[in-house]
Amino acid sequence: MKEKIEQIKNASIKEISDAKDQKNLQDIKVKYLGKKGELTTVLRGMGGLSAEERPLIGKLVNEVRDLLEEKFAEKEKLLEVEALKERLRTENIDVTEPSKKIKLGSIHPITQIINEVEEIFLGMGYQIADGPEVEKTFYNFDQLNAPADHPSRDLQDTFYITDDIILRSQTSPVQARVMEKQKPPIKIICPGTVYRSDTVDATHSPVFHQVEGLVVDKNIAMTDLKGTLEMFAKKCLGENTKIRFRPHHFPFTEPSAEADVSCFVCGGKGCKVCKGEGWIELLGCGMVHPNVLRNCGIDPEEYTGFAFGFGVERIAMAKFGIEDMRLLFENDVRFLKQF
Amino acid sequence: MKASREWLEEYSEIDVNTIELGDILTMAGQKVETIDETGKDIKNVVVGKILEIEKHQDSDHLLVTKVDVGDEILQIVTGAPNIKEGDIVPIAKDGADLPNEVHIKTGLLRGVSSCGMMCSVGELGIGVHDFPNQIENGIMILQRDSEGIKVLPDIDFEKNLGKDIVEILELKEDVIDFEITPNRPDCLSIEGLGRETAVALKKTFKNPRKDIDEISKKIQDKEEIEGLTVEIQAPELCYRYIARLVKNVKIGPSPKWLTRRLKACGMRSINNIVDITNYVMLEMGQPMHAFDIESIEGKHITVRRAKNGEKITTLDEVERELNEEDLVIADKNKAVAIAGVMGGLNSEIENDTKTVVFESAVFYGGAVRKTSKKVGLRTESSSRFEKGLSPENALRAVNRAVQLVELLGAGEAIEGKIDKYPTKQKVNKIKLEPEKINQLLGTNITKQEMIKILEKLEIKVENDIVIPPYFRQDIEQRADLSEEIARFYGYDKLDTTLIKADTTIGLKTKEQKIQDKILETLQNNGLSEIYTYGFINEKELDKSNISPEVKKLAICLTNPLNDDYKYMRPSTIPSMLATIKTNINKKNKEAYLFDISRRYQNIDGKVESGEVPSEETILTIGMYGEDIDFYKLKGLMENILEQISVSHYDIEKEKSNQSYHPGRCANLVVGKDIIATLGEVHPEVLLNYEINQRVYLAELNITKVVKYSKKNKKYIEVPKFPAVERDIAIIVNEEIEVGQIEKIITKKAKKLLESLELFDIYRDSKLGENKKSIAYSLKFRDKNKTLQDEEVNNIMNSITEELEKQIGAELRK
Repeated sequence: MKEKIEQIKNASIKEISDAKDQKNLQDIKVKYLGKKGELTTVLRGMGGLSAEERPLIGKLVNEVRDLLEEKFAEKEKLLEVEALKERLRTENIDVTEPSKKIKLGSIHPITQIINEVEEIFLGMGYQIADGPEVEKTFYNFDQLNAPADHPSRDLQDTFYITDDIILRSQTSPVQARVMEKQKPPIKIICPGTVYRSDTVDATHSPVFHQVEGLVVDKNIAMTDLKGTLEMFAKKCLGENTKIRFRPHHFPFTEPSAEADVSCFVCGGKGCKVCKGEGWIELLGCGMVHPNVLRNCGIDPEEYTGFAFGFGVERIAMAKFGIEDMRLLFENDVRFLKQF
Repeated sequence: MKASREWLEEYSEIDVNTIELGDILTMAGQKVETIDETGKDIKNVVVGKILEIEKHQDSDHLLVTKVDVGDEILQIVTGAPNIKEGDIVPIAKDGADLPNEVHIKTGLLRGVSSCGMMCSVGELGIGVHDFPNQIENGIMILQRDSEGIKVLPDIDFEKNLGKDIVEILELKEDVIDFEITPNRPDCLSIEGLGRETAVALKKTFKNPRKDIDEISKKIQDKEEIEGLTVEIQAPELCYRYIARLVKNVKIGPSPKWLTRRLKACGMRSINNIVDITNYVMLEMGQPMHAFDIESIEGKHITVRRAKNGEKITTLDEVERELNEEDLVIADKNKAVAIAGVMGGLNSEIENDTKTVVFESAVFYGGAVRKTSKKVGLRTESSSRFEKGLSPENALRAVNRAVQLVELLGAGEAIEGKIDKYPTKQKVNKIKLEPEKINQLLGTNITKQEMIKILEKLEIKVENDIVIPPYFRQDIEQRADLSEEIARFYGYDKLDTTLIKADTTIGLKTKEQKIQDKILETLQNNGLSEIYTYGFINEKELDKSNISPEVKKLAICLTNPLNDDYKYMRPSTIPSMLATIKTNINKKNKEAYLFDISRRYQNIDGKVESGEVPSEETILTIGMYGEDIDFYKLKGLMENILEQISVSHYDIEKEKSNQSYHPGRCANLVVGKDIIATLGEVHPEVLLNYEINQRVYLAELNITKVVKYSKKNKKYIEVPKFPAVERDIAIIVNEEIEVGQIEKIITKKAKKLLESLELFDIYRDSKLGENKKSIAYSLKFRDKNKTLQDEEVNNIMNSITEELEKQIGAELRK
C-alpha cells in the first residue's frame, strides 16, 4: 500500500510539472484528487487494512494530498503567468488603424457665434429675449422713434406684408416689446433673424442675423456702454482687441455711435479683412432715446439706458475666414462639417 | 454728399492734409465714405506738340514721333492711331508718375529709344466727359488747329509748351464724399460741412455769406411782382414759398470757378441760371427751382395737391401720374412742377428766357418722400426735402441766387419778394442741465466747456436756456445736446466703465435650454446644422406636396426680392428638401442635416387684422445615405425626446400627410397634440425633386413640445427581489403592428411587467402566407416578494389567450 502511494506521488508530481496548460493541469488534478481519482481510491481501499496500519496510511495519504495540492497551486500560478504572457503577445493591435466612433455632426457657424455671444452676456447677468420675425411696424419703427414718413425708415429696405405688418428689419422691436412689459432693471440681448431687401451676393443677404443688447436702469451712462462693449469685444474677439466709438445717428438712440474694433485678424496692422485700415466696423450703439423710453412707458428722467446691435454673419465670416456669405446658406455638408 | 476741399476752405482754415481731414471729420460724426484726390499722383507730365510722325521700321503699328516740350525735342514711340502732326498732347516725360502707380522711363521699343509717353484721358485719371472731343482709348488731344479742337477755349496751348499739365488743366482737386445721416440735412451743404470742419479743426467759422443775412433783412415783401402772384392752397404740405424774379436774363455758360465746384460735387453744368440753382443748393442746402415766367399761365402760382390722375411730364421727359397725396406747383391751368421732386418740362428755362422766377420753398418732408418713392424719382432736391428743411434758410437761398445772377452778369434783380410763410419755424428751447448731461455721458465736463462747444456750433446759450439755430431743427431735447457735446468733447475720450447697478441673473429660458439640448444631441448623433431662408414660392410648396390647408396659411410679401421669395413658408419641409437636393447635386454620398427655424402661418387672418401671425420653432431633420432607415430616424427622435425629458407620448401611423410615404410615416402624439412627424419622403415628392434615392424627414414642433418637457425625476428603490424572465414568440398576420401587440401584453401583464423587449421579427413561407413571427422577452418582478413560477405562468397564459382572441395570434412552438 505504501509503495502504491509512493508511486502515485511520484507519477503525479511528474505529470504536474509536465502539464502544458491550465486545462491539462485540471485533468491531472481530477485524475489523482477527483472523486474517482487514484489517491481517493486508495483512501477508499483502506477498509481492508488493519487497525494499526490505517492511521499510518491515512496520515501518509493526507500528507501526499497536501503536497499535491501545493504542487498544483504552484503549477497553476506558473501556468497563469505563462497564459498571460501568451495573451499579451497575441493581443497586440495597431492603434493607428481607423477608429469606429459615431461621427460627430456640426453646429452652423452662425449658431456658434450666437452661442459665444450669449455665453458672454449671460455671464454678465443678461437674459436672452425673443420676438416675432413677422412684426408690426409699430414695434419695428413707431415705438423706436421712427414714425411714418420718417426718413430713417428709408435707411433699411424693409419687406412689407401689409402697411402694418412687415418682416422685422432689425431685432430692436424685441427691445420695445420687453420694455413695454418689464420694469427696469432690464438687461437683455436679443439674437435673431432679420430681413432687408438686399439682393444676394458675396457680402449681402436678404436674410441675416443680429444680436442686439439693451440695458435700462438708473444711472446708466455712455461710458458703461463703452466699457460693456469693450469687455464683450475682448472676450469674443481676443484680449488685445481695442474699441473705438465714432458719432453716428440712429433714430432710437441719442447720442448714437458706431463702434469699430481693432482688426482681430491682423491685430490692427492692416489686412484684407479690415481693408488695410486696422479697424473693423462692428456695431451700432447709443443711449436709448428718451422718446423710445417714453413710448414704452419708462420715465427718461428716472431711467437711462443703452442699446447696441451687430450682424452675426460679419463676425462669423471674419472669424472663420469665409469670404462669400452665400456659403453660409448653401448648406453643402462639406462646408458644414468643417465647423 | 460730395465736398471739395477748395470749397470747404472758403469756410474754414484747413491745416491738415485731406486724408487727415477725413479722419477728423469721421471721428466728429461726419463719416467719410471716400476721398478722391484727382491729379495727386501726376508728376512731370507736360504740354507737348507733335512735330513729326514716322513709321517704325520694325513694326506695323508703332509710330516714331518728335515732340516739342518747350525746352527740348523728345523722340517718343507710340502705338496710338489718333494723333496727327501738329497736335498738342500731354507728354509724360522720363521719370513721370501717373495714377495707379504707373511710372514712365526712357526705354527701347523695338530697338528705337522712346523718351516718354503720350497720355490718354484715362491714363491721367480723368473722365472723357470732362473735356470735349476726347475718346476713351486714344491720346488726349489738347489742341488740333486743323479741326478747331481745343479742350479749354480760353487757353492757347501752343504758347504753353512744357507747362505742367496738372496746373494748366487744373486737374488737382481733393473731393471728400460724406455719408450724411438723415438727422442732419444742414450738412447736405458746403456751408454745414464747413461749419463742422471749423469746429472739428478748432478754427473759426469764416461765414462768407454774412452779407446775405444782411440783404435778407432788407428785401421788401410784395403781393405781386411783374404781375406774378402766389397762393398756397395746401399749407399743411408747404411751410413757406418765396419767389424772386430776375429780368433781362442772358442764358449762357457759367464761369469756370462755378462749373468746377459743381463738377467736384458731382453735378453737370447746364446753363448759368440752372447752374445757379444747383450751386445754391450745394452751398446752402436749399433746393431751388427756376421757371420761365412766360410758361406760367395767368401769372399765378398755386401750391396745391394734385388732382387724382393728374399727369405731368418732368424735366427728364417722363410722364408721371399723380394723386391728391402729391403736392404740385401749378399755374392757372396745369402743374408746372412736382413740389420738391422735379420741375416740369413745360416750364423749363429755354435759351430765349427773359424773365426768371426763382422758387425757394419748404415742403413737408414726409409727403416729398412718399411722392418721390411713388413716382420713382429720388433727386438731389427730394433727398434734401424729405429730411425736413429750415424755412428760415429758404430766404437766404433765394437772395443768394439773385446775388449770383448779378455777379455772373446773367440778368438784373427785380426789387422785392413774394413770401408766403404760413407756418413759422418753431424755435426749440432746452434747459441746460450739465449734471444730467454728465450723468448720461459718464463724464465730468464743466458747464463752461459745454457752453463753449455749443456756441462754436452756433447754438446759443442764454441764462441756462439753450436755443439751437434755425438750421439745427434736429436739436429738440437734452439728449440731443448731450450728443453735440460728446461729439466735440471727443467720443474717444469717453472712459470705459462697468454698470454700477443691482445684480441681475443671466439664465436661459426653458425653451432656450431645450433648444440647446436638441442641438447637442443632434451634433452627437452625427447631424449637421443648416440655415435656410424663410422665403418660399408656390412651386416649392407644391413640389413638397404641402396640403392646400397649410399652403393657404402662407404669408405673401408685397415687395419680394423676386418670385422665388414671394411667401413666408408655412412649412419647413420644402427648405429642407431643397437643401437635400443641393447636396445630392453636389455628389455628396450622404447628408444628415437639421434646421432649427421658424414657420409662419397666417391662422385666422391675423395679418389682415393687423396682428402678427403664428410663428413656431420647428426642428426639421433631413437625411439620406446608406445607413439611414425609418427606425434609425425613429431612434434619433426618441433620443431627442429623452434628452429633453418628454416621456409620455404615443407613436401613431400617419397615412394622410402627403409629404411623407403613406406606409412609412408616423406621428408622435401627446394627448391630441401632434408634437412630431417622421418618416420617409413620399416617392411622388422625390420624383418632383428628381431625387432617386430614399430621403428621411422629421419635424418636431419645439414651440409645442416645451410644455411636455417635465423634469421631475425621483429615486426609485433598486429591486430587492429577483425577476422572472419569460420569452414568447407568436405568429400573426403581416398587417398587425407590434405596437398593437405590445399594448395587449402590457395591459394583461399589469404592474408586474418590468420590461418588454422585442428581440426578433421573422418572416418565412413556412409560417404561412402573409405571416410573421414576433418574439418578445418579458421580465416580471414583484417589488415586495419573490415571484412564484405559477403566478407568472398564469399571466403568460392570459396574455397568450388575449393575443389569440384579439389579433388571432398563434403561439409559435
